[in-house]
Amino acid sequence: MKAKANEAFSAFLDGEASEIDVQRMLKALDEQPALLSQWHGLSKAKAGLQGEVLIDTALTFAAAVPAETSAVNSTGWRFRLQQAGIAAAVALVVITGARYSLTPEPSAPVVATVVAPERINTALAQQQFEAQRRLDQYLREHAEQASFTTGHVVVPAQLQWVEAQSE
Amino acid sequence: MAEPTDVDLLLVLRAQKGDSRAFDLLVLKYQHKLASVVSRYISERDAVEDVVQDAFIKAYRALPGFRGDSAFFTWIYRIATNTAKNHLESMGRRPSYRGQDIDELALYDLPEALQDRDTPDALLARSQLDEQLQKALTALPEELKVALTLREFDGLSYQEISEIMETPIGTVRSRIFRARESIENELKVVMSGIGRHTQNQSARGGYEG
Repeated sequence: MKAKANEAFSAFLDGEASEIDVQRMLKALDEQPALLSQWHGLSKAKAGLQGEVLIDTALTFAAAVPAETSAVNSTGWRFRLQQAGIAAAVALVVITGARYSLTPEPSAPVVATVVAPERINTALAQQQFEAQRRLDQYLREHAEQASFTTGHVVVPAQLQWVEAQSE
Repeated sequence: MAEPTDVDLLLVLRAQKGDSRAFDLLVLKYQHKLASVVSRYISERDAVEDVVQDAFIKAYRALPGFRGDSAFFTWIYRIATNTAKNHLESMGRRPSYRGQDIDELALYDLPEALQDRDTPDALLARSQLDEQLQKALTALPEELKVALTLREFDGLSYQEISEIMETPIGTVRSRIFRARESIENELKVVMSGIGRHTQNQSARGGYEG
C-alpha cells in the first residue's frame, strides 16, 4: 500500500498520475501524516535534479493550514445561514405587520359613538392605505437587503390586495 | 488511449470541499518551482521562502474562486509574482530586476547565471549539491539510472520510456520512484542544509545521522 502510494506521488511530481493515484495518495496521507515529510524529501530530490531552488514550504504550510481550513469551510455555510436568518426575520415582520394592519385593535372600542357612515368609510380607507404603505416599505427593505447579500434582486410585486379586497 | 486527467484540478476540487491534504499535495508539487520563480526577484533565501508560503496561503484563501479557467500552476504563478512584487514594494524597493519591469521579466526565463541568488555562498551550496547529485546518480543501478535520466534530463513521458526500455509503464513508475528515493537518501544531509526549516533542524543535531 505504502509502496504504491510512494510510486503514485513520484508519478504525480512528473504529471503522470491518474485519478486512482490521487485517491491512493490522499488515503495514505490520512493514514500516515508523516508521509508528507517523506514526500517532501522526494520532491527535493526531483527539484535538485532540475536545478530548482529548494525550500521547505510544504512542511511549514501543512502546519499552518488547519486554522485556515476551518475559516475556508465555514465561510460558505455561515454566509448562507446568515442570509436565511435575515430573510426569515424580514418575512416575519412583513406577515406580522400585514396582520396587524388588517385586524382592528382589540383594546380599541369598535364603535364608540354613532359616526356617520361616510366617516367610517374614510377611516377604513385611511387604515388600509397605511397598511399598504407599510407593506410596500417592508418589501422594499427586504428587496434591498436581498440585493446586498445575494446579488439576486427581489423586486417587490405590486400587490393590490387592498383594492382587490375593497372591490 | 484514455484522455489524460487534470490531476491538479481534481486536487483543487477536493481542496475546495475542505480537504486540506489535497492542497498539501499541490504545495509539494509546486513549491520549488515557485521558489525558482520568486528567487528571480528576491535574493534573500528566507524572504523567498516567506513569499512562497504567503503565495500558497493567499491561493488557499482564494481557492473558492478558482474555476479552472487556467491551469493551477498558471494561477499560482501569478499570485506568487504579485506577492513578490508587493514584498519588494513593502521593503521600499522598486519591483524590478536590474532595471527591467517585474511584469515584463516574468514573461522570460532568465539564464541561471544571471540570477540574484548567485552569491558566493549560494553558488558553493549549489555546486556541492550538484556534485553530490552526480555521484548519487552514477551510483544508481543501471535500469534505475536510465529510467530517471530519460525522465529528468530528456523529458520523456512514462509511455515513451516504457517503449524505449521495453518494459511496462508500472515498472517505469517503480524504477523512477526507487531512483529518486535512493538519491534522496544519499543527499539527505546536503539537501537538509538548503531549506530554512531543515536548516534549523540540522542546527539542533540533524547531522548526526
